[in-house]
Amino acid sequence: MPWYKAWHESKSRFVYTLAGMLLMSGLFVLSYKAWNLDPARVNFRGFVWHTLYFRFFHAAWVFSTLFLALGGLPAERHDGTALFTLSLPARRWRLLLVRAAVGAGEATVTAMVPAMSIPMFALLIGQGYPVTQSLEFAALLVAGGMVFFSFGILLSTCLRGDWAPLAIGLPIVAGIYTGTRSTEALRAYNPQDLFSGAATVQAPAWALGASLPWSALGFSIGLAFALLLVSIVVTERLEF
Amino acid sequence: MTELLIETHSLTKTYGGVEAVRSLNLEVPEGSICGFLGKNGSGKSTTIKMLLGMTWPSAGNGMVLGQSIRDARASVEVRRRIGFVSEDKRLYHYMTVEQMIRFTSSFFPKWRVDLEQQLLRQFQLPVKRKTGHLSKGMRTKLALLLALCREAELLILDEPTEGLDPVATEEILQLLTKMAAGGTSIFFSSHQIAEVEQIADRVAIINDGSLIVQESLDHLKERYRRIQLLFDRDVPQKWLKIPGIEASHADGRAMSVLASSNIDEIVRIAASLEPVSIEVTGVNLKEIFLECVRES
Amino acid sequence: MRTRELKMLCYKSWLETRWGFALALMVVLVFSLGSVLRFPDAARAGLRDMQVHNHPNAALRGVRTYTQVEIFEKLAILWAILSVMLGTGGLLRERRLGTASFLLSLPTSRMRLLGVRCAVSVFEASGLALAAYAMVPLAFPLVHQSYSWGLALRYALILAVSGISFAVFGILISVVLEGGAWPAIIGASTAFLSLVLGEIVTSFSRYAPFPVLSGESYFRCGVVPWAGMSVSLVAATLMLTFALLIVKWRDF
Repeated sequence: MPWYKAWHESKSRFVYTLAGMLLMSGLFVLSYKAWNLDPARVNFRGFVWHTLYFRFFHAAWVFSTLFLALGGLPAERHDGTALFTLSLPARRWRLLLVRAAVGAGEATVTAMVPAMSIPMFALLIGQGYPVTQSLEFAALLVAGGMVFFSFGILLSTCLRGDWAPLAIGLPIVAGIYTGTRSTEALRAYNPQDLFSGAATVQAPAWALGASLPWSALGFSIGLAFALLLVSIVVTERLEF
Repeated sequence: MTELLIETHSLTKTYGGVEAVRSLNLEVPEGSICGFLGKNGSGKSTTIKMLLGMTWPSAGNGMVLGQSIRDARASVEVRRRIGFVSEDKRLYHYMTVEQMIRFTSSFFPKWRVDLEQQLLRQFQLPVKRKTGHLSKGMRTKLALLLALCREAELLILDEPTEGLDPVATEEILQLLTKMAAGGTSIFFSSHQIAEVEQIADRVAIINDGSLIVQESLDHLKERYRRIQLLFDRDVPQKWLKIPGIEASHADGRAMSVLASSNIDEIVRIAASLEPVSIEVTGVNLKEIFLECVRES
Repeated sequence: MRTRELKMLCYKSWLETRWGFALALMVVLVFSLGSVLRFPDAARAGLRDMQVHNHPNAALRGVRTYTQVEIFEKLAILWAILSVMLGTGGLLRERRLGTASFLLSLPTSRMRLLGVRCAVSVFEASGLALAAYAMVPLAFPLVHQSYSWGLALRYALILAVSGISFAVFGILISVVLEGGAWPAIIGASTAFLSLVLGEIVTSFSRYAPFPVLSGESYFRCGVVPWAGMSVSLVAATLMLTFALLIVKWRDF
């Protein structure tokens, strides 16, 4: 039943973000011809990588993980239902982990399904884009970007209010992206470069190379679990 | 003739296909303390919201202090002359007690600063504390303070003693009685029937959206009687079909009958059955209420 | 309406929104300052431009071009989203919090409640614009450059006036949608979409609000976008009227 509760609470946010990602992917792909790009410089695959996997798809997905991470006991306290939930025979850490698992699943689907839609939209404008390539970029983004989802879980554990976690989380994440891009010493840690495959993609294939940023991925996944652990500790100690 | 401060004519509110309030003809005279009783979901709060212009009637009309409840502009003037405590006692969590008072008092030129100070002391409200950090009882007390200090002609209170301890409840009831004695009319809903019985002089009972009782409390209690009979044989049943008998209950050879009218006739017929004993007693408001909503 | 009542309603709206405003202010100020401080790096061609745009490095074209392309254009989008979010709240949210009955029991009309909240939102959004744009001439001396105060304030005014409809959109969406973060999220994403759509779908570019917000015509040829600003004011008036009608007849 905790799974049912977590799904029920988050499903409208999930549907909204999925629809938004699909809409955005479709709009960009279908508008390809309007950009009047020189195919010799940037072909369709390069356009997809630049506009979506490097820029807008990447940014929208990262921000949507924060949105999907909303909820939890502090939000329930705000709504007045926390005491009811806490009176149920379920441990707080279990409720949080179930919520995190459901949210992580939703975040994954929110990346994978739109990624799969890109080749389909491409067909509508007479272009081709390999499904596997699309899924590879999405998988890299999800693996590396889950840390932001965990960060969102932590914020929603610590902060009360309707959208305080989002209001605080978005500027922080944006700051991380901007700060690591602008500062020479930190540029190697820029998530946009790391989790879009920027180091390995090249014309004309614009595909992920063999050498993925494994250490960055490992660090990111490790940090995601660490943030989740901190969230559990905080949740267990919350007073209601 | 006493002026009516609240009067409604076939007031109806429908949500979807459900009639929350059904052709309500409510009358609250000036100078009265009127208790508004009903089960959960019977339409009490919906009625109050319509009187205050928070919810618009689906049909019918009403007047509060001589102003139509359907007129948004008139509703503003009405609210300037009434004090209101809602069922949900939550206040602005980002304001302190002091800020809430300052905010509310700015709308009421006749704000009673003396009463405000008195109630702050009496209720022991911490002025610097945010309302979000007050206990439920303290929020109720603050909500009452914000209503009572307006120097209102009419107080409309939705469960004003909810969440209060017995001491605080008694203080509030005495305060309300004092205000009524000073000329303020009071219309309040409550689930605490004993409280209504203590201070109200008039009662309106609503059930499933319809008004089933509306009269003075004394008259209501005068009308109802409980007749206790003890027989030395099996209890006779057929005589119970007499007008005025609302309910009856047999327990072995004892029988209890609740009657709302025709008491003398019922007693005469009961006596003719030659019971071992017959006793006629008064009935409290709770029994009347339970009987009214049950049969309705 | 008595002055004291009006003051108190404004005070209440301010208390409700001050932390959101403070956060938004911090975001735009940090963005402005950070963008200015990045100018030297940009001028050394340290910024990687998006290849699909085929833009030469804006910083190489001078402070004014850099400010327009890298600061004002991005600030316009950021400000529009923040303005919509600041505008959310209102009676539906108060109903959720349980305070709507109290507010509606006060002797003031729903129209005035909404009007005051709208005024405070617009005031805050304007304050954000002025502060963010004022940071530019304030910060450029730190990188041994200068930018005209008058020019910055003119762009700020263009943004504040042409973007007023975004603040009012936040008000409108709050009277239509209930529930937690939804009005803010849907409002912000709609604002973002309306700004970006004109850039990526050429058939919409004529009607895109983004060039008006960023003062593109003023940058290119010194022409104030009066038409765009007027459209925004008309749109804001229509949205506010619609919101007032909804609030007037809504049940609480």
